[in-house]
Amino acid sequence: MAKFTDYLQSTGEIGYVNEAVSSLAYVSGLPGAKVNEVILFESGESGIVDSLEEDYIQVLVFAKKPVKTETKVARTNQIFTIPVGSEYLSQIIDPFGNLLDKFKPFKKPTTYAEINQIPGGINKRKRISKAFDTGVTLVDMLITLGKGQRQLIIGDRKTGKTNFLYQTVMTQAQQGNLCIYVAIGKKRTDIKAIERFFAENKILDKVIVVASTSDDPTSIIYLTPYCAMTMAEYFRDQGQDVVIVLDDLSTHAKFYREIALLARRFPGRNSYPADIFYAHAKLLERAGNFIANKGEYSITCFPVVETVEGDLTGYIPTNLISMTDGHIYFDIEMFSKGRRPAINPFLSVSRVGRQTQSNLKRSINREILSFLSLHDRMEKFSHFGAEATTNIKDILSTGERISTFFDQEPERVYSISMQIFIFGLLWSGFWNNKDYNQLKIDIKKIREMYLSNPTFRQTTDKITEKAESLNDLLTILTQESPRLLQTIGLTSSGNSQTQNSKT
Amino acid sequence: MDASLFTPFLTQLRTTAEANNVVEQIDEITNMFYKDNQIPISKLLSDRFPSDLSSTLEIILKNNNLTEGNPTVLKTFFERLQTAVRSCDVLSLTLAHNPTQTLLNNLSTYAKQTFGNKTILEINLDPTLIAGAIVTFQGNYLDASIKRKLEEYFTK
Repeated sequence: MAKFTDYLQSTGEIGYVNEAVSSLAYVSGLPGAKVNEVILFESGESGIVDSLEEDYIQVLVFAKKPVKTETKVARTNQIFTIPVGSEYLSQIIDPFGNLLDKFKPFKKPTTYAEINQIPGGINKRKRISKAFDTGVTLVDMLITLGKGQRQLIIGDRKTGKTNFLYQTVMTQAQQGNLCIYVAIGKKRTDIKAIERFFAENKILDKVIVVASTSDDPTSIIYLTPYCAMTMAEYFRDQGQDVVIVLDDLSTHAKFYREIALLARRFPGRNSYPADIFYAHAKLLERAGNFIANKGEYSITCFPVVETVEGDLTGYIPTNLISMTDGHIYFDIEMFSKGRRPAINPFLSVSRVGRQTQSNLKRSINREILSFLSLHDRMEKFSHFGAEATTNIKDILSTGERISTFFDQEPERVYSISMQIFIFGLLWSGFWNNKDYNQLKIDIKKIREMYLSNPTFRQTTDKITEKAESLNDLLTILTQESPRLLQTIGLTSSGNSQTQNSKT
Repeated sequence: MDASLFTPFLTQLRTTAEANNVVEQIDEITNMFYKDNQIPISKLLSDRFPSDLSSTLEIILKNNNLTEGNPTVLKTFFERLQTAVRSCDVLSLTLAHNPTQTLLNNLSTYAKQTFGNKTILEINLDPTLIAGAIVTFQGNYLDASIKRKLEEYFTK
């Protein structure tokens, strides 16, 4: 970067800091300043122009301490850009593209991109048509997602949101897609934990962690998701499907509120500025399924938002619900009941995922959802203490079995065909006379065999590929599963004919 | 009270040092208004301002029949004058040497003719400039010093 005086000379303009509060500086002078232009202070700090007023400009300063008043300021005539490139894969970086570990040798990429790019219009987008696998059975079966979807992850603190995101990133990275995990204003220990998880699961080479810590200046925390999205757009244009996790936008909104209040903008609901919706919408609008330079590539976005005591009607959550293509709700009550993941399928929505489903998945989805609502009704009915008929008992026990099937340990992911195969067995009554623990053990065995035995994997994949509907699947399984399961030492409970499918 | 009332006075102000002095002296004058042994306003002005400035102020006061006015009206007049002085446009000049009075007069006259009567000079000294000046005015910046020229010459 050139010297301060060089910029003064080249632009022929000078400004002075009139007032500085936290990460904001009010600067007089600089008549030609533009929004998002990089500004240099004589004391060495830099910042960007946030807004232009009649007598002064408002600058977001990238410094922890406020700049001193009367400091000279120069324009650079350059819009704020960040370095982008595949050099960042497997690195933890700050929003400016610097490694968080400053002692690690690293060569910065030479390509730069503007952080506030205009999202592609309707002519640059394509209908979402490819399914997106999360590796989490409950989501893949009930709340199917598509590539390019913006799916909000919503729930109280400590309800397993982050674990779900880890599983999703793991599944996508294993499928060869690029993942960007954005930690907004997190503690350094949390950032380290993110890195450790990805490293332990050997997927770090497909992941970039863009992080700002809680002790970073407000301005930097505010810009973090925009910088990460710029990086995602770069990789999309390079011909890669990208997954971006924004963890989390409630923190982002709080930091933006701090900036807005310091900037004396009129406070609105919950003291958030009037343009908080715009701040998030302009970010999420940049995700989607695009016709990029090298073909059809997507940016699938998972913004995270925290609720308080399960209140979905908060200002930021409702804003985000309205600008995304669906949401996955992590229910604190289900979490306390021991469900993992604690996703409430009845309060979760996927608005575009269904169009990407295969016929088989659609028929399974329809069957499970109608069964779960029936089970829910029966469960409520059983609370009255009425004597349950055999039919009701069957429904309740099958419901419990399905819940056990959906229970998933945080570090485990299931491929789609494995999920379908196990569900087919469950629905055909394979575990009808076995207890729930046995079901868990058997699922674990099937998973291990699927991952370690290529023949077993190929056979299960073939079965799920062949089936056109749930009934097809059940028929094929009745013929082929006994032989297949014998190879891993699993035997049917004896009642292979389904009662559940009849219900 | 019209702001243009003070134009003859502001035209005679050359530098920010002079302007700051005026603001300070006005504070002292207004403090004297409510003392028991009242001193005539003409004496107050001549004691505190250079002759040209004090005579200009006296003329302005006379023209507006304020010489014998009550202290409150006079105080308002001086407060307005303070505000007018404070709102002058500052043209900042960084020079290598202290300017002579003739140069200062010439520079001030040029600045007032070019940018308006309310322009005053802020003179800073930086001997490393060798010669020439750095000019900043209303956010615009021009480094016309020999130092800069030499730097450009040696970096080429």
